[in-house]
Amino acid sequence: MNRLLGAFLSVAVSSFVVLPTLHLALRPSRASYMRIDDAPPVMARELAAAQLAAWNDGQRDVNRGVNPEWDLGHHTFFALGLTNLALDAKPEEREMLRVEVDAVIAEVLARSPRHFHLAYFDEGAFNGRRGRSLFLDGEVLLMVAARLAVWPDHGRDAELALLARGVVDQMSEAPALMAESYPNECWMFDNTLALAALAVTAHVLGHPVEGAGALTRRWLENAPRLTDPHTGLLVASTTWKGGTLDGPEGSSAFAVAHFLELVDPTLARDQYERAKRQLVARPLGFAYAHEWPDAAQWGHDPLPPRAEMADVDSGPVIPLVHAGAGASGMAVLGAAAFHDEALLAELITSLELTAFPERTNGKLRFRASNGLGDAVLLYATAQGPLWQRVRAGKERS
Amino acid sequence: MKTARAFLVLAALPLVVLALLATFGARDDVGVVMTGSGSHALLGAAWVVCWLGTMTLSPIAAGAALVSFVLLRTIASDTRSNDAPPSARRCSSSSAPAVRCAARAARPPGR
Repeated sequence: MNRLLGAFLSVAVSSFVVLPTLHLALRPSRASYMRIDDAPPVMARELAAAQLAAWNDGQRDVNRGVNPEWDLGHHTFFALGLTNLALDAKPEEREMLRVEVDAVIAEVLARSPRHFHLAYFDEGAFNGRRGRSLFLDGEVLLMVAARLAVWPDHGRDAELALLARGVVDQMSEAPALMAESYPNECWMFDNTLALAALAVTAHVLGHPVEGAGALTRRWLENAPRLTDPHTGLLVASTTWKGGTLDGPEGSSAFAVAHFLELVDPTLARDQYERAKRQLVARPLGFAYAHEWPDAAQWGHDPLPPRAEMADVDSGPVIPLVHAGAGASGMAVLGAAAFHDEALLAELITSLELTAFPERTNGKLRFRASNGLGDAVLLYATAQGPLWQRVRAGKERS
Repeated sequence: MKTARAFLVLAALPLVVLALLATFGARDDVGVVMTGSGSHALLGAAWVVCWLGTMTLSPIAAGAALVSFVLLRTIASDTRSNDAPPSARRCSSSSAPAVRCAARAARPPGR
């Protein structure tokens, strides 16, 4: 009995020392995940090197069988990551990155819309007159606008304006100003991304496209109706008429806050702080994000229609601790975008422990991730310069 | 001593299994565990478990071995002290200078 007690005491004492200090052994240097002296973080460079090598090798490490949407997400975040890195790059590297970004955009434009959507894309008719997916059109607009913001080419301004007007039309005709990505399914991620894309477009063209300013104003006025009253977070998806389908979700909330930075910085900061409070857990120097807020906050009120239903966006949710892979990846984007260094360090430390990083010859990939996950992390660590450039342009005008 | 050794074995075990799994290339299958089922999902899952075991449980077990070793030494030394005659106990446990204790022990009996 004494031996058992001794063993128990030994484990207790050891755990008391080891668990709170474990993160210290895993935390990478600050320069690895933070911009220092206006240079991109080391991690962004390593991720870009690995992804460029894979891209040029013809690899598209996204399991389209699980979710074809990941394919478009991968292309978008990869292209946006590279455009941000290009703003810090030397002329010869910058030109190399332009060629890569153009190739990524060309590959997306060469595919049919069906290629990037789940099977129910064809089930039922779109309510919008254009019958197009904002998921695809918004991300194409953002990629093209970002490309032209970094490498101006006035010969393509008309193409950009045409894409932007299409997005404005899609969103403006929707009763809740939420355009569809699937029939009668409108995603907050896609709609806020589209608003950010319109802001980048205005920066490139030197003026907003017709209707974009009014749309943005009306959308912001309507935002309280798209907000969950229990958490204060924007809901993740709605019907065409604006009824909630998915309540707030971690795989959406952090990215939404980041996109809103170009639309309404105050609302963006508020959404980030709420998402952090509602969704982030920070045990022992590590951090991760939940996919859904605590359902107890709804009390006796009915939960959103698809509450706590894991879908292909959420990624795996680890039982007991309810850590969401998608939510945690997007939390890295949120923490980096809002300069939340303490949380960013904790999230990156969690990645070092649970995402199985593999570093070889200056290239970094995460074994537990896929092409999309790595592209999100590339964008999360590289982002900043493009948004800064657009915001500086806005302030000047 | 046995407990300390058992903890050391526990600390080393995930490391050994991890090394074995690395030889089989299980690390390459970690992605299979995260993105869906596959023929190598079990191997990948074993890698995940052993990796997390190595990173969290091994240091705890190694620390426990150390604590257990220190505890045993303390208890053993206390037991030895309690088994010794009162004069020796006083000498071993008191802060009196060693010279004085040695002199007292050398004193002839009967005085």
